[in-house]
Amino acid sequence: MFKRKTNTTIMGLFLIGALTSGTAMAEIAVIANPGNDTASLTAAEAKALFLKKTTIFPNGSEVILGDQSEDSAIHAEFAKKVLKKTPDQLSSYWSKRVFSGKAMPPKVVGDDTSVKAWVAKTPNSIGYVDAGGVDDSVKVLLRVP
Amino acid sequence: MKKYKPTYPAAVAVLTLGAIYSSQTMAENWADKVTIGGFASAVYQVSDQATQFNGESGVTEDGAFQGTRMGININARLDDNLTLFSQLLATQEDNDYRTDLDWAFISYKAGNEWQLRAGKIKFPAGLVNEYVSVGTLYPWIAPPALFYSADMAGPQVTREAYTGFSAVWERNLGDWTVSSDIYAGEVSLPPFKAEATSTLLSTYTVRKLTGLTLKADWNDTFQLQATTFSGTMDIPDRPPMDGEKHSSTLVGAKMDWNNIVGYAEWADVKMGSAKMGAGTSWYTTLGYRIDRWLPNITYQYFDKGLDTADLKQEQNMTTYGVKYALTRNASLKFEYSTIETVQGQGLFAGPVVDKSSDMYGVAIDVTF
Repeated sequence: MFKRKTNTTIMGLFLIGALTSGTAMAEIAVIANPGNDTASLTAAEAKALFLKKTTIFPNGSEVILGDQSEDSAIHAEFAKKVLKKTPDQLSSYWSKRVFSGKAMPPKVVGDDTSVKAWVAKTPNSIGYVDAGGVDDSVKVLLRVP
Repeated sequence: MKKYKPTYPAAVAVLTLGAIYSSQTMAENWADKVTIGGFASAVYQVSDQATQFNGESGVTEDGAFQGTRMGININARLDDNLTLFSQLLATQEDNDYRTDLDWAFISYKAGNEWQLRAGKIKFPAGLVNEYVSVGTLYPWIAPPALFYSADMAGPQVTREAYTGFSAVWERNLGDWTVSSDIYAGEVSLPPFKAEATSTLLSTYTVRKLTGLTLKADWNDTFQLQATTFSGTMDIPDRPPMDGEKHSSTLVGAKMDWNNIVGYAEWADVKMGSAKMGAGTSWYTTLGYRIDRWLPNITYQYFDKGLDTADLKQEQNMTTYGVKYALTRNASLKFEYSTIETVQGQGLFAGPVVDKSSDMYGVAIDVTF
């Protein structure tokens, strides 16, 4: 939500930090339970699901969302790349939904390991993790560079 | 703090049934299905007038903490399709706090696009009315008073909740989301005082209420909204209005684009043949976000008691404000307002000598 600082020195440090940070630039995988028969998702479909604009997979089955911790780097990365929002905008979006009785936000499951383990055992679930940590216990529906 | 007062039996019944149901179905994993959140605002305002502005406990030259409040939301997913939403709200009133069940309803998800709701539900009238108590979600200390007033002298655009039923339809169209909310029920405002005598009058109730709200939203950046609702007034102490039809029409637009923040709303209220309650109100807000700062300016206006010279109320207000985001969930606000009372007393609780008044305010808002 906050406008980036324009100070060139700070911008330079930010860019250097971003280029050297493997976590911030990692590929994100949107994962589902292996029993899910949805073959893949587009970025737009993933956005609609994680904002609860729609609550079913393209095949018609109900979706159960699992989120990463709000203060994690991958949460901010996913918000920016897929949901097209800053963490502040996303927080405001859910506050409006919750405090008007429209929807409850996705369940916060935890970090990559927790989300992967939760998705692996929860039918119809969907989450997102660092693509580098994906294995056969989950099904990848979308990769976001 | 006063004891909780159950003023809406239907809403309490919904809450109780939900609690019983949830206690049976969620004993093992309630933590996964219940979410608790809240918000609070500390507000202080002072004017240069001895007469209260915006209600009996409104702002005067002695200062007032009107608008100071705290709310708790308790939401419970009862099963895949059934969810209980509720909000308790404590508001500052006459140096004490009044706690109400602000709203509470059961929502049944019927397919991907429909929600059927029953209980005490916040009016979807006005862009911010459904979260009107949550200060972090808008730029002002309080939503424009000449539009969102709860005072009987105001433009009658309710900020209350109705008890009844609602069917919400929402469709995602890529970057656009369109929705409709059709509803029916009744709404009661607390007993109010007659301006001249301070006598406590009966509860203001609108029965057989029906309404429709349409919304279109582009990426949570631009939003358009239109509402119409009407019902029959039941106010035994006020024969000119009792039994008359109360109807309101509202249109509004909002944007938050490239750090430019804007709001504009217009409302028209009619009370059958009772011209004393009829009127129009509108406001517009423009702000520009600079890092954590959001300076903004708002102009608001209302004109009530149309074509009745002795009852006519006309007032406008210009507010210069700034919101500073302390954190993602907390904000600090400062405001300076000028109030021009063109005719009548407007939102003042009694006649004012000076037609031009100044008001200053500071507030801290948090969500948790």
